[in-house]
Amino acid sequence: MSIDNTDSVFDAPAPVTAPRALPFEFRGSGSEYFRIWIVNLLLTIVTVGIYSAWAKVRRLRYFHGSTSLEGHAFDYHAEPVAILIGRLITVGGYALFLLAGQINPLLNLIVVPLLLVGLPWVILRSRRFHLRMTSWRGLRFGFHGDYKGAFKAYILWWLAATFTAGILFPVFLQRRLTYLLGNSAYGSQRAGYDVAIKQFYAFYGWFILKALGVLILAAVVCGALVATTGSGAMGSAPVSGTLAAVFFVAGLLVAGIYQAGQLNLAFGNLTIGPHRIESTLSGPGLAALLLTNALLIVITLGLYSPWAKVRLIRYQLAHLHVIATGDLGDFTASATADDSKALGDEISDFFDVDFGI
Amino acid sequence: MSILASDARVIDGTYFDGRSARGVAARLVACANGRCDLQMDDQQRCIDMASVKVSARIAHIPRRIDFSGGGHFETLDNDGIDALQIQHAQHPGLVQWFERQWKVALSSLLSVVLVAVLFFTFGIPWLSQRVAQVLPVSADAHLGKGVLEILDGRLLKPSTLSAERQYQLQQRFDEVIRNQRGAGNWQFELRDAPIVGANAFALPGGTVVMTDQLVALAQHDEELMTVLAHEVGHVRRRHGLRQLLQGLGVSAMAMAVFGDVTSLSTLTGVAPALLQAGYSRDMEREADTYSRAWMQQQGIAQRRFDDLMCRLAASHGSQSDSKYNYFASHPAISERARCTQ
Repeated sequence: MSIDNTDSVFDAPAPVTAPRALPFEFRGSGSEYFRIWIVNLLLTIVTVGIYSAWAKVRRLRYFHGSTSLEGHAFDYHAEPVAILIGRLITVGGYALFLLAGQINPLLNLIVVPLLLVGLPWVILRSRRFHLRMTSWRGLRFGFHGDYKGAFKAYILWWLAATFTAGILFPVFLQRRLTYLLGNSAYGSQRAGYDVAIKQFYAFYGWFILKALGVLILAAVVCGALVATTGSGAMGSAPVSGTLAAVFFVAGLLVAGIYQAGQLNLAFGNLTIGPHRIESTLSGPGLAALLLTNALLIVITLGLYSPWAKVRLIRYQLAHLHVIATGDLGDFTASATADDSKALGDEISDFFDVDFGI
Repeated sequence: MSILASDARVIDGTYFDGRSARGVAARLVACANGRCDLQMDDQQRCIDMASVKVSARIAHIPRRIDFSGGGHFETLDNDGIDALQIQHAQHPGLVQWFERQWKVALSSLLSVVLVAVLFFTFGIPWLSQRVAQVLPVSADAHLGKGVLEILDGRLLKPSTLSAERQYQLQQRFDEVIRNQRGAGNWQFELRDAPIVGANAFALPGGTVVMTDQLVALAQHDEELMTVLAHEVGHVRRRHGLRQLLQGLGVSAMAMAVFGDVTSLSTLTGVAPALLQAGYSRDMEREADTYSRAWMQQQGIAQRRFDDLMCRLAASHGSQSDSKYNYFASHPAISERARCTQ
């Protein structure tokens, strides 16, 4: 950040650098990803789904490798075979569950408590696997959350939120994000996530007000539309189609506001050592992107989806910065043994859902 | 540069030792005997190329070479690494070659579309039929269990027909199922359905429900028997179970194709709905065929079915009868029956 670089090189003690904003650069493109996507798809179909594990690794390596910070890209290291085993176990388990439920509905009663006990474990393992498999500058990310923490955050607080008719829902989300993000690590450096509950209540309060505003606006627009065309036209296809479109747009706007707000709340408060992350997504901006993506995907019968994915990632990364204080090269590797081959990690690819944010 | 022969290519990149995030500018120089030199500011390491792991090429993203003792070399010079691999008789993967060719991408696209169309029209119905054959008949009964109780509370009321008429109709049903061997527990139910109107439906496992309204619409009991045969056809062909299995197949495919565009999960629900409606129409055709074959066998005139169908269509109004209604669960009436008017 110094104005004259050539002079400062010779200053003997390196001055304490002022915080500087480092962008995440994204070099992926729709035309590149289209080719990866379509080849993945074809090979997955031809191999009756077996290739999907390799496809997932190629897809994630492409997106990680296209994202760089301070000139260095991220990388993804998972072994496709581990993912394949996880997927086979999942498919087998799911089929078993469906069959058991059809043949004897009583078995469904056992599955629910089993899921409640098993879910925190799956979340923990999935998170650990995903972070361990991600690297930047030769250092792996990591996750230090334990089962007890996952059970409390995901099951107990979720139950509490449910039984209080949602009043405790912001607390549940605060616990969830604190568990997921606060237990993350880069090399030996633990991440920090410390957000007061009242910030979550403020976010949800504003969100509910904004959502109500959007829905009232949509209702007013629809009311005006019906009034001008006459109530008899309600049943006609163009009018009901327009009404549906208005509510679809309103729904996307609400979804955009929610997602943007939650991502800002999550990443915007994350710290790693002396550095912190800044997230400045805007709800309407994200909603506009989701809307145009959806329209283009429908118009192109799905062909646009690789471009849509690239656009979404590019947009999200453009609003994410690392506010670095000091040298990002100061991180060191974690001393803990690499047990990334443990059985649980394979199963953790389970639902293939990112339990992320 | 001309001093460097083609077999001594220089690849610029960064070396990371894996212990800290600090990178060192480095260059990889190929030399003889399957070895490379890794040159950094103040040191040089001799690398045996057989002991390293080179990452697969994906589009433009950086390549990495992982060394056996820890640490890795990272470079954007993908072509340089490819040349190095060829020099050391290691073959770059086939998939990475696929991804770089637009020709391959476009032919993949055509193949995917072709395979998808074939799979949805023939594959999924065939698979569901095969799986249904493997599953015990009791699975059907479990599917249908409890459905009638739920409907009874909401859409259906006890029949208002006289006990004598109900007995007569039960006799008719028994006639229809007389020669149906080994297929589940047949049960005939009559219900008053002011909301649903004239209709009949079958639950998986063998329960056939007919509404008073349909009985009133019929002008001959043989007409009702043709509809009962249609419903028996649904049960015999295990349409309930097959529909469930097809639904699973369709959603699994939709997940595979669009799974990574998560924000569109609601949108991709439209395609499965369309396909399901298509399968449902196929099943109605199957049940119609079943009923018509039964009529033939029993010596009942084909027009009995036509007459009731046409009256049914007229009573329901013709607004839903469009050839282009792709979301419709039943085929157009003009396809199912010959109407005289």
